[in-house]
Amino acid sequence: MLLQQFKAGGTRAAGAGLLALLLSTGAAPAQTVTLAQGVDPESLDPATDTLITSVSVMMNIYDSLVWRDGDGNLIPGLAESWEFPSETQMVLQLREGVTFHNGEPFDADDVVFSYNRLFDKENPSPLLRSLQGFVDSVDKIGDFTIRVNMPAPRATVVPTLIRVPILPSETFAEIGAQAFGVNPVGTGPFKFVRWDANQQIVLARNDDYWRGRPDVGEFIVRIIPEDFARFASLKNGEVDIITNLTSERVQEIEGDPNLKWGGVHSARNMFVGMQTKEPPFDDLRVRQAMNYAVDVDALIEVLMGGHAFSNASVCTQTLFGAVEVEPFGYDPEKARMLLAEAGYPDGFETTMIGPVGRYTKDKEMQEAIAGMLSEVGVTVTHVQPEWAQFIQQWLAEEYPMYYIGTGNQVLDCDQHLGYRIDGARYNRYYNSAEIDALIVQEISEFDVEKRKAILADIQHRLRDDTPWIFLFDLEDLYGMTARVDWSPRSDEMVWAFDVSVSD
Amino acid sequence: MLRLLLVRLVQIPAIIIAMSLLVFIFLNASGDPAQLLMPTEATEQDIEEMRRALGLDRPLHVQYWNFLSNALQGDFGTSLRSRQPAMDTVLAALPATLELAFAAIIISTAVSIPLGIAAAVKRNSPIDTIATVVAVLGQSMPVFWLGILLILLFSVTLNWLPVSGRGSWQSLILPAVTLGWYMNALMTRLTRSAMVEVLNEPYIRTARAKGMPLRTIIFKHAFRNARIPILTIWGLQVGTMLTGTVVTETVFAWPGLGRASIHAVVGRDFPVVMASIALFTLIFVLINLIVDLAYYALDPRIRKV
Repeated sequence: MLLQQFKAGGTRAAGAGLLALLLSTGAAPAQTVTLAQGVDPESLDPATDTLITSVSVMMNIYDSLVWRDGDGNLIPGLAESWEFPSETQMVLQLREGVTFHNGEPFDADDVVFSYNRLFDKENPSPLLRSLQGFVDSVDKIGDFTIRVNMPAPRATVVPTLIRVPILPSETFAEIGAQAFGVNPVGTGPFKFVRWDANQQIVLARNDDYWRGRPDVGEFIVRIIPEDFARFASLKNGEVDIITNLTSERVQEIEGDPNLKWGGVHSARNMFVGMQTKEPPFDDLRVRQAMNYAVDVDALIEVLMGGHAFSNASVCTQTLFGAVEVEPFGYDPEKARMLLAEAGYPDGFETTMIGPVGRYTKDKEMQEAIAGMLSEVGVTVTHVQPEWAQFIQQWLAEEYPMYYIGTGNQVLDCDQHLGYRIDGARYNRYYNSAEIDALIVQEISEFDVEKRKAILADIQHRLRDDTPWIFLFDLEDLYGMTARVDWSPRSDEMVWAFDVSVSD
Repeated sequence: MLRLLLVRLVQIPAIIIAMSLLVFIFLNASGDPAQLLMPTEATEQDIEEMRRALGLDRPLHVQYWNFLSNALQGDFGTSLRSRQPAMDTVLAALPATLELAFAAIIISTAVSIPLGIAAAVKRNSPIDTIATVVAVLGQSMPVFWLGILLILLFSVTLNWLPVSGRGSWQSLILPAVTLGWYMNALMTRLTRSAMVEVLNEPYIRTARAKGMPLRTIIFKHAFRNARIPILTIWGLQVGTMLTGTVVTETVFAWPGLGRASIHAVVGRDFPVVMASIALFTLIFVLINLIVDLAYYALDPRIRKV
């Protein structure tokens, strides 16, 4: 506030007076907002680091062609408008008069460069995987017109474009990928200032931002890995927003007038997958029994402090196309009956693999689920390796059960299906030609209502075919100081353009 | 002395190379960096392409040989994850670790040695009890818990010191005390027992009997003879502090080597792991060498051997 008045006031004397006032009250510069998150990015080059916490930092520096507002609606980004001349082509009009932070003007060459580098076979990018199957290539048609070519009709191509930030082609060619990864330049609301590895990333407001000037003058991302230290830093006023607030802390925040918390229904859901191609889980009755044996509401209440949403659909309820399907409900008697019918009157022994320290309360959750299953005679042995081992063994389908979460970057049900169900894209643990055929229909259906109907059909069928023990959608919790005005987004981005402060 | 130096100068590279080979073998057996780098929905073919681009498809002995020949020329390769030079990543974290370790060493040495001596001289006195309490607490409290307690007291309740991060000198205090806590306990106990042993020697009794001032007895006669075992443990602890700070660094969000290297291990960022192992080994053997040289200077008997 004070700094804004200072800028508006204009005269040097008035400015000096205000500055003196600032100094005399000992207040920190009013418009610095500090976010504390657990993980430092590996790189600020979007082609190198695709971790969600890194992307969140990057989206303050870069713009994509398309973006989402705080409510999750698709809004134009560096593309002003778009149309589909054919079912496999999309033509986008780019915004004119935008410049990168270093003064390089933005045009179609930057877009073509930012996409084409992902297709470079010599330097494969983990980001390419989110484009493959949706975007084949990007051509320049005019200085501010480009065409996106799809391999086949792809209904979710628009939100897919969110994932590719636009980089300045000339600057990148000049300084090279290595230097760019630690000195990023974009068109976004904040300019990169400094990065002290494992400590903090400092961003400064881009006064000439094409959407308008951000309210926050300086946005600092501090890296505080430990949950308790992150919360203590918030309580002490050293930081303004913390991510991954634990549910136990919510009550403490409610009793503190200087703090508040924000929760948002996440795009991520948690479930226990089963190896449906082999006994005992090839029998639908066994899979149903597993669902009846787990008291999801108790898990949410006791372990998540009530901060999760029971969901029996494969799609998180925040996603486009998600529908509510009938929950199984807790019924251990029915579970025992179904197991007996399937030929397991005394239950069976099985193994569940799951990560530790990756998701909220992951270890406790796996143990609680195993405890509930043991009530109906299913004895679960845990395998809990660290993440690298987990990924390897899970992808290799080494164990019949696995506990995992699924995030979603395009906020569309299709991505969840692609990540965990679709035979063409995933092809593990579960296989259904019928579902795969429906997925092919849904992904090429441009009519919104028709597409929703197909997605609903898929979810109902999957609920009935029961490839998972359906659990819940997460609620992402953030702690904030009272001076911050910001509503968390379900895509896990902390986009400082939407943050304002009152001091 | 010269011989010792010469022998060590030959040993050091051999130790580093042997370490690097061991770590290389274990790392490769423990997980696939390409699989971790790619999103979980990646196909086998995508992962294979990534493996090829990173050079991980070549036979292990070829990979190791490439690593070794480049490393000998100072090139530890490029981080698989950040695409920055691996050794740069590690060296960037070194100053923070040195700062923290030195502060911890200074604090714990300045507290433990006088406390240990005083406890030995005034056995069964209140000061001896204090030394015992320090030793027990220091060796039984997990570092993690201690760090959280200190944050609760000095940052949250009293609001004297920042919770975490690196910057001002105030932010160094809590992590340095936390890191030095164990060493302080160990050194207090050790100094006390080494001194007690020496103080029971007949020549000390003789010195007392002839009326020598206590000060002279303690520092000139007793401590001189007690300092060899103290130095041994001190040297080992210094090595541990420089390389084993990960828990303290995590609690206090301190941007040091421990976090950088653990992060590299978890992400199977082989070049960064190898670079940090080389640096850790070098630090360890150099400290050992310094301690050996110090023995040489402090104990005439060793000089004769």
